[in-house]
Amino acid sequence: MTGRPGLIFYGVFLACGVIVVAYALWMIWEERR
Amino acid sequence: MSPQIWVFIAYFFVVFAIGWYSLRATRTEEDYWIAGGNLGWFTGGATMAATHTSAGTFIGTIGVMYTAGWSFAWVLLSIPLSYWFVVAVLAPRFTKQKELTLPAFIETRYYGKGIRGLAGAIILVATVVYIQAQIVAAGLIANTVFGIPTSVGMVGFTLILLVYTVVGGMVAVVYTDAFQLVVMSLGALFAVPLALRQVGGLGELLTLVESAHPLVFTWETMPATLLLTMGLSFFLGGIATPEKLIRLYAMKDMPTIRRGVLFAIVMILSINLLVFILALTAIVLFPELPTGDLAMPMVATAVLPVTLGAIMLAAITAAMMSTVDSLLIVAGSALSVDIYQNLIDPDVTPVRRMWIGRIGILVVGSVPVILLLSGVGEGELVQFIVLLFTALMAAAFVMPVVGGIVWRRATKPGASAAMVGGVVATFLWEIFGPESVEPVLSGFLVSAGLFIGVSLLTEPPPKHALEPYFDD
Repeated sequence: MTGRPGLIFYGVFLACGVIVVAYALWMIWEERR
Repeated sequence: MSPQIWVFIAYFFVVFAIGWYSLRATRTEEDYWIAGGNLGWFTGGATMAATHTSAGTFIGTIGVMYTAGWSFAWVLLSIPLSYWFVVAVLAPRFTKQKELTLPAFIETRYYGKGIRGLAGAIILVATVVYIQAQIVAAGLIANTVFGIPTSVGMVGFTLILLVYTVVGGMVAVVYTDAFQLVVMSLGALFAVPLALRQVGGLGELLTLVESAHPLVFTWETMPATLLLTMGLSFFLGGIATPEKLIRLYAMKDMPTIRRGVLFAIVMILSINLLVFILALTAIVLFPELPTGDLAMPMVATAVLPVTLGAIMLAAITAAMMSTVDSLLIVAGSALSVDIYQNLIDPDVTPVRRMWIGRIGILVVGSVPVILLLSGVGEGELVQFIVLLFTALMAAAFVMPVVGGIVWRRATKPGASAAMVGGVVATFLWEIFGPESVEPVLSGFLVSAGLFIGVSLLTEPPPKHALEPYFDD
């Protein structure tokens, strides 16, 4: 099996983006509290 | 002289200028150890990101990815999660009472001078290990780029670093870190498109990488246990390494810490992702390097135009210096405040104490290079030295720090047992354990077991130890 650069490759970029956005939303929520 | 030399000279000139300027801004001992405790989100976040980004990133991570493949990239995700945990759970209570060092926190929370000295000693030993990794990498770069002997490169790197750290203290470290972070990001940002152009674009790169290294985009190149425990190592290391924790003391307040960490996370992730792409280009362009650690210096010298290549190498040097300087500050304070004043001479004046710290930095900074020149610790892959350091710190400090903050029942004997047991278990696993599991797992589990078990078996802590951190 040769792994196509699919999810294993692009997934890292996606996951990083998701974490940053989630953190930013949490930060805003924390400051409004 | 070649343009590379000029880039390096210009670069070090700026670093020195910042160090000199910082000396004038350093008036009190608080300035020297925690930059006055008044940093804003930009400088605070920048120094966190720069301290985090070390030779481990530019040399080590590329080395592992070059050798083992893309699955290692996923370990990166543990880093932002770890910082998030620090901000959400640890920082609000940890920073209630500002200290100058991590062992000082240990003394306050665990009501004892001996345990503080113990924490200082662990930091000193682990720091020497870590600085060694960075110096090895510096020697490698000096040798690849300028063709000067590795030993001369190592000594030169150490000298430059020691001068501005000893002179300027934390203020110098924070501002040189901010500058070095800019250099690092620009270096990586410019290098990626150029490297991609060399191989014909991202799509082409992925195809070429796959044909050169068919398993690169699979989960089969590294055991799942190794990936998971490496992730655990970075997660726990991110929580309790002293050079990161004191940056919480250095920032002004909680909103500043939250923003600073967001900035740090964005910078760390961006730099790492760019570096990952460079690792892939190295697989295509230089398929047969003797060691993965050479991948990045090769990309910088052979792929990039001369001046840009030099900037990239200056950036790697920046990454290493900004990490080592922060560790030296931690080691210097461990020696002067946590060991000398605490155990030897309690009445030492602040000025004298700062000088002892400076001498301490000089000594701690020289030991690794002396060890290396006499042949100790040569030839290890940089990333694995970094992981050992991270594991030691995690095994020693995660439970005493996090446990001490969230659990009132945590006691001094529990914390001491956790520190000693964690360090011993980490070393034993490193020497005797299977390689498919990182030593952090055994170190952390032993540390956690002892922390909880011994705390429950001993007298609850006195009220005054809890007051600074718990409201009621």
